[in-house]
Amino acid sequence: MKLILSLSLRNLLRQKRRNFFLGIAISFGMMILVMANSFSHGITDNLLNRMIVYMTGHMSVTMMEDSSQNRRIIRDKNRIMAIIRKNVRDIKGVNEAVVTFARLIGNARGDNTVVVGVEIDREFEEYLRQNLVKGNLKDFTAGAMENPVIIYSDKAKVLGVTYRDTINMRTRTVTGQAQTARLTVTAILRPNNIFEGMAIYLPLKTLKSLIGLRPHETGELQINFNRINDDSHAKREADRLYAKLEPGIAVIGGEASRKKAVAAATALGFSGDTEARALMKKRLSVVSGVVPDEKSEDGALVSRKLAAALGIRPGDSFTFAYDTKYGNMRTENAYTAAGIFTSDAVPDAKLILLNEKTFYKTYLENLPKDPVAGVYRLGKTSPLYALLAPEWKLLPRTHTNDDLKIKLANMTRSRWKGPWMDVRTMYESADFILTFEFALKVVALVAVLILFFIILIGVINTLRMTIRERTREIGTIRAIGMQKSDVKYLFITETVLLTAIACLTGIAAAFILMWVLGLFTIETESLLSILLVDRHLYFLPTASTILGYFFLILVMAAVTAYFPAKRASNLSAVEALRHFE
Amino acid sequence: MRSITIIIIAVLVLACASAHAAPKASDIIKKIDFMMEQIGDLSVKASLVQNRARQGVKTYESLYFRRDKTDEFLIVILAPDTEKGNGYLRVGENFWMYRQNTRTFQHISRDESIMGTDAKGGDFEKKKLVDLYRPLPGAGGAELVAEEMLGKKPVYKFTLIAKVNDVTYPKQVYWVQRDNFLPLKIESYSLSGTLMQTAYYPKWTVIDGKYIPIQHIYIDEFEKGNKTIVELSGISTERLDPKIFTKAYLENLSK
Amino acid sequence: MDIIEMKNIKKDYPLGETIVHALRGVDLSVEEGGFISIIGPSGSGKTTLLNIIGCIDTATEGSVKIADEDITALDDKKLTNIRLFKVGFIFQTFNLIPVLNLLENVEFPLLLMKDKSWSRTDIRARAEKCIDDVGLKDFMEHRPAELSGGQRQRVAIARALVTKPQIVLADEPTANLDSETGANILKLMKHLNETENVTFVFSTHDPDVLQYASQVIKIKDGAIVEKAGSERQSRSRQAKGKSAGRGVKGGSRPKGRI
Repeated sequence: MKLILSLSLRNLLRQKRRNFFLGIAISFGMMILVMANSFSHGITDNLLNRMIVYMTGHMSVTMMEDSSQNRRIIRDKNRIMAIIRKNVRDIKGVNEAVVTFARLIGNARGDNTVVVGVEIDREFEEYLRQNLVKGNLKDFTAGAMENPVIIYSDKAKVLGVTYRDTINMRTRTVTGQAQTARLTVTAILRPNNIFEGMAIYLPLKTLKSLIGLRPHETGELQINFNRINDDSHAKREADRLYAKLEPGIAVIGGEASRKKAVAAATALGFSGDTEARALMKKRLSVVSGVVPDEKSEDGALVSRKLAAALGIRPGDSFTFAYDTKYGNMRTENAYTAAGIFTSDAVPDAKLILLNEKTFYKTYLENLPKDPVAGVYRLGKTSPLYALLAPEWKLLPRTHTNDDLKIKLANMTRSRWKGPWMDVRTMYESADFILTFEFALKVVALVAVLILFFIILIGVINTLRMTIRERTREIGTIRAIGMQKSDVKYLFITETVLLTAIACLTGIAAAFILMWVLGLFTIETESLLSILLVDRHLYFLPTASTILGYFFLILVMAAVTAYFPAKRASNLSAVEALRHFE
Repeated sequence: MRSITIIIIAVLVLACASAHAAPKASDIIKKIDFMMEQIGDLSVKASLVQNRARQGVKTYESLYFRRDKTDEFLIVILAPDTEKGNGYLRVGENFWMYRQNTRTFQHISRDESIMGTDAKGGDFEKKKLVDLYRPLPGAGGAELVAEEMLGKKPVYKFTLIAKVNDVTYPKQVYWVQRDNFLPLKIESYSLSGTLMQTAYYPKWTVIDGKYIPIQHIYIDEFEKGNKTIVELSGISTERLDPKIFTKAYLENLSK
Repeated sequence: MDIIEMKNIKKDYPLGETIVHALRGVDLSVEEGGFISIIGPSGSGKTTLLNIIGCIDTATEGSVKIADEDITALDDKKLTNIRLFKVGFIFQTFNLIPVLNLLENVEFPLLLMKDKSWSRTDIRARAEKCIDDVGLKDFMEHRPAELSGGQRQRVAIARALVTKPQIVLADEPTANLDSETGANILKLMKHLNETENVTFVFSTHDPDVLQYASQVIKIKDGAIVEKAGSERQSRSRQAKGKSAGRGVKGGSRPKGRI
């Protein structure tokens, strides 16, 4: 083997000029391949670990009320966050994503925008500092100004505003009410790409309160991983989290009272769909009165035990009060007993059953304290479980944007009154970016493989020429006693060796060129800007891919060389010796 | 039925007259609700002229069918050409948007914008004013109703605030003509109290004894210079064929 | 003992639509240690005969035994091994490997043997000895292109002998050399024939060569026409106490002529 190797190397050196040019071609190809790959990998990294983090997160948990996609409210932020932190691995951060569309009126004219609520952490502060054109970041953070805003320079230009000017903003609250605010420009930033330029930043707290979210509520929780490298990562974690988000029955523990009588009671919602209604008929018997209808605002079904304790008869009104989980408040609602029921499943419970509309109205607005002792609780095995309103309903997991759209359309159609919960990943919410990234990779790979195909035709040609020139030599070494297979390997080795050396040179050249290209600052606000990181070309070479391509090309070279080499080895020694050029 | 309503009106009028003072705001809005309910079936051609600062004038035309009893309505767009044949259909809880070019119906939610305007799905639901708003109580808890002149017309002026959290405007100020309780002007405010829109209903017509505003003027108070004028024509309150409020009807219209 | 035994060897080549009968039934036995010269005009079949003996060509008909091994039906791999282990070649045009220096050229066949019992040092020592034997000790590091024709042929001889083959075949080894150099080469071959006890079979059309040969085989039109032992050769063999008439036995059986 050593013999073949040293012989190949010397043969390569014998045809210095010819092999030099071929080598240049191969190393150029390799250089382009490494650069294209590093560039597309850089874009992938940029898209997955910056752009998507910025836009949708690698993964997110969304809750939607009133079966409307726009009503994104997570009522119990802390609870969901705790579930996420406990069950999702390798988390870099869980952020509250509070975003709203708005119309801005500045000094010059109006413009539409996306308002993003931000919490200033170190990373964001660093980002601000790097891109600040004008203004004072302290104005934004100090809290002295009423509605401080950070905008990008293009937007400032359109609106005709500058540092300390005010902008009128019109938006909608999460429930769709018109809302306005006067914002004061505290800083103007230089955008890194066109996407950024569309957004404006308000302190998270300010934006939440403007669009009607209380501190314990949020719009959406976005989860970002430390670094996403493999495709299935987010999907895997989303599936894990999904399994842990199984809802329980929504329960309100409080006190019911009528006149002077007071009794501890538990309020539950009952589902309005026909299935649940049928089940209700089976499991409950209404001893007097009726089941309140679906549209009723205050009708309640009271268990006989509670009715007896408070002396309630159908048509009587009573109040139900409970402590809220957040804000340290007590909520009191007045209901009218539409009917009184008994059930073998819950013979002794003091229950108030409300239709979903009535139940969720108070449950969601004034989240009750977590059930404590004394509150009647139903396990999954309870015969009533299926007809009672859950804490939330989980939308099925989907894996593509199309499926997500179908899922959300189905949700909209459902008209369910309670909160829907959805766990999604970037594969659903930002799939256009991933498609773009994939397309880029494929284009780069195909282009480069075509390049290599052409180069390898050169390799074949060169090899054929070499074999022709060295026919007598082949005859000699065969006569002396070299085996056919060794002759074949000799030529394959020559080609592979040339390719290997050229590829290594190409890799080195690619690294040098990438370094040089990375030095330039590119000022562009076109779509191309999304390919840049901090206005620089961003290459991210990875050892595994480079090695992969290196070996792929060696194999391609070996395969290409195989056939001419085999023909060379099959030459008859006699014929070969007789050959004269 | 007819006789009962007459009695109610009589009682109301009597109540107002006997008090010899301005009626309560809550009674006025009940009256407005009652008048709207009276319309029952309605078919009308609406032209909408949208004046936007820097963007010029856009004109929309549509046919509007409404059937209160079953809470149904249908909008068919006639102009501009890009929207022609598209429509919106609401039957009870279901609200669809129809795209003529793709011949598809899409469910839309209450919060979704209609034709890219400020109107949203929820605005078209049959809702009584009394279910959404209550009068703003004054210092002593009493409802404040002022008697004013709007131009040459004597009006009652009062303020309503939202009972629910999902109406577009949490606060509205009404100017209602004293003799016939027709709203002539409505100011709408945002959650933070900014005046967002002033609506004028200067022209009313009476068809089969029912009052219908034939001109609406909406002034955008937030973005100055924006103005929308709606004019109604071809009004009919004849009973409508139930077939109108079906997907098939909308599809056939644009064939 | 006969190191080469050929019986009724025929070799036909197709050439366009006709068939060329290069050998027409050759019987030949060569005794071990001989210094055999094959002479004849161009195209008489000398080279074909040598190629068949050297296992780089196969006969169309007839059987060949090399060192008691019947090679008639061997496959390419085994034939290659016979060439490597039992046969050395010397070519008219020297055929050294241009990218290897003199020492490496000589080492080359040993390396091809891939024989574990040969250490790298043994190989080097053996190659150096062979080069020394042909008198080129001072040129070890030179490339073939830096040597004269005679020197190159000496290297070729060293390469042919380095594996200690039983037979060395030389096809017109002196044809590309001037007469003086050619004579020296033949002297060297003869010397090595005697000292290393290797059988030499070489073709030539140079009548001067005959004086060195222990046996001369005349070939014409693919058939042996005359076999004669050199007197000098016989004498020298007798002087060494070896049996007379050792060398070549055989004749032609001109069968199957067209």
